Amino acid sequence: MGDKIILLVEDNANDEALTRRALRKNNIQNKVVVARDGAEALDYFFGSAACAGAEPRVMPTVILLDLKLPKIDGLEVLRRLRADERTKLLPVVILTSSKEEQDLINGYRLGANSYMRKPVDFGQFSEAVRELGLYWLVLNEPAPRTGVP
Amino acid sequence: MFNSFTESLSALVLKAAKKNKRIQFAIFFAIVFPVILIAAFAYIETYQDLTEFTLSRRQSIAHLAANALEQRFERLTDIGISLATRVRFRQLVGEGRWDDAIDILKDVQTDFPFIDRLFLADPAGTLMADTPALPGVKGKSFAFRDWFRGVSKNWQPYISEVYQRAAEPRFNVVAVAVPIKAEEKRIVGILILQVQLNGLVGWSQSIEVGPAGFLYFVDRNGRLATHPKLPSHGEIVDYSSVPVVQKVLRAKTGVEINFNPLANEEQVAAYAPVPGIGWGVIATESTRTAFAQRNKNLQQLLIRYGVIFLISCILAYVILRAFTGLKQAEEKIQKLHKDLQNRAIELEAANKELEAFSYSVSHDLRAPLRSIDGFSQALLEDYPDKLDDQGKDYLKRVCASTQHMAALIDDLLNLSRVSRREIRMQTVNLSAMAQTIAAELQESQPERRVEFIIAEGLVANGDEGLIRAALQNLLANAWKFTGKRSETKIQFGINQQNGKSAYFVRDNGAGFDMTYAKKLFGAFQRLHGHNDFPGTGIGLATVQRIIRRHGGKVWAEGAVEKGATFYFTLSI
Repeated sequence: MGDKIILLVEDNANDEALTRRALRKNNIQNKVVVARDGAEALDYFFGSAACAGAEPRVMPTVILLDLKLPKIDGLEVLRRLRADERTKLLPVVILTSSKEEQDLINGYRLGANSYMRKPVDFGQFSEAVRELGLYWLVLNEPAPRTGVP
Repeated sequence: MFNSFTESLSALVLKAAKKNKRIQFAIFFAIVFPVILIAAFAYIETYQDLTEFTLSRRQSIAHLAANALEQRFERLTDIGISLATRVRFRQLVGEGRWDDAIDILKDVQTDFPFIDRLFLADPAGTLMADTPALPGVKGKSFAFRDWFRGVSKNWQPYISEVYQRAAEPRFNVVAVAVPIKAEEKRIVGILILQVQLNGLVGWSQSIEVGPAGFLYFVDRNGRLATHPKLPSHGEIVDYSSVPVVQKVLRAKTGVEINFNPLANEEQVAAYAPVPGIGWGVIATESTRTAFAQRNKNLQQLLIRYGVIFLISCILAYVILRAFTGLKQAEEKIQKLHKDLQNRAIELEAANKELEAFSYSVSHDLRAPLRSIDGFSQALLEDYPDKLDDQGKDYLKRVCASTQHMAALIDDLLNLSRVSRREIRMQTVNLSAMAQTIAAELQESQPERRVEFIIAEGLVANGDEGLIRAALQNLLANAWKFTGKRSETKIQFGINQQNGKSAYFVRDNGAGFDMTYAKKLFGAFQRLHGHNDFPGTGIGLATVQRIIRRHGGKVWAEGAVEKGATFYFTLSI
């Protein structure tokens, strides 16, 4: 379980800290790679080793994708991931503040595997992160892919 | 106010008129021009007809008069011949017994009163006897007279030119000279019938040429034989220089309008020659009177068409007014339509903006809340030994406030979503919906004992999602405000309010003061303290917005500690 990477696409440093804390609280020790915007996220997959601290082309086990992002928004990131053969089957969980119907519909239409609204209450948030980690990192059996040992 | 209104109106008309001047002119022309055309044609036709009638009538009169005169002369000639060929008479003349011969003719005048005098002349033109006898003429030669020259030419009956008789009063006369022949056509004398012209053509006076028209006759020299306006004795007037006289003496028939220098006015002159004797008849009348009837008719025609023209002008005006009105109305509609379109575009833009705003609110406002809550939690959890109880209590208050703020944001978003959302009409089973909501509420607080009385079979038309939200709000409110009752009763049903069916949700909870009933439905308006009954104060505002979007009304009745009833109607 320890070699599984979580890609967190999140522009808010506070949210990042809280997410990391929630993961830690729930004993999820996996490596978390953070992309600060949509462009950085896409760079991780298709760019030339732009993300420091991560080997390029090491596919994350799950992507936690915020929707409202600088440069390229979350839905566009999702669209491009799904358009590419290499990332087509990656589990993507939309983790956002938005509860707008349009975002939900578009998220699922573009192939999100899950959609979660960030609760304001940290207790609830922590619980949600715990369940997320348990499901996607432990229970879920990912599609076979290249680049994973 | 009124002035400025009329000013702007006239400006509008002027603008429209300028724009459509050509079209307006075309319409006006299309209506009025045919009337003018018809009037012009009718006028010309009537003018020609009446002129033709006036002229041809005078032509006929001249022609008939000429024929009548010819017959008179023929008759005179016949009388002369029949007298001159009497055997006894011829013998007497042949024997030179002039007085005896004239005796035979004494009674002729009685039978033919227009014969003025009869006399006999020898073949040399010397007057031998006469009746009635005039003194001093017997034995006098009249060979200079035209009648002698005429009859002696071929010794055929001859009608003389007009001349003045020798005896006083010197009437204008004409003579019919008939040769008296004895055996083997030997000329023994001449019988002369002298006729006063007035008597001969007296009948012509009774022919009506026109109101001021008349006939006159000229002899073959163009001298006036008789003229109703000139005396029949005295000097014989020579008309041979008059153009129409010249024409008629050339045996021409016709009618013309010419200038009469004597009367100094235009006249209609119809002329016809008298066949056989070379005389002429002229029927003449001043154009002023000859065409009086025609002009009167034309005048009436003009008046009639003037009236028609006026009516057509009024009609054209009315049509133009209607046209301009239509045009203006159309322009107005177009302008309104454009305004409306602009508004719609603006509204759409505003809606989009609002959506973007809502999105930002839901995303960006919640993020810091999450941080506040999260890090407060972190403090509580990670540094419990560094905080005393009061510090912990403060942090808990911070967390509670962030929860409340989050709820406020959610409700606000809901409220705005309710306003923006497109309504999808369908049949909604309100009773079933209320049952479901009641069950959910019971499930949220299973320990509470609440009696729900929900009427059966309530069905309405509306947007299911929105109506569910409204009903959810009302029932949840009832649930909330009965939280301190040991025995709770919540009712959903329908009854008559002011003659209209209204749905209601009734509870026996905390109720409210009717003084503030109107405040209930305002956003963020709360009648209860947060500690008593928590809430955001947006729920009822949302309900009101949903009901209004369905064309209905919502109102409340209640009293403090005596429960509340919320009524609503759905008119679509």
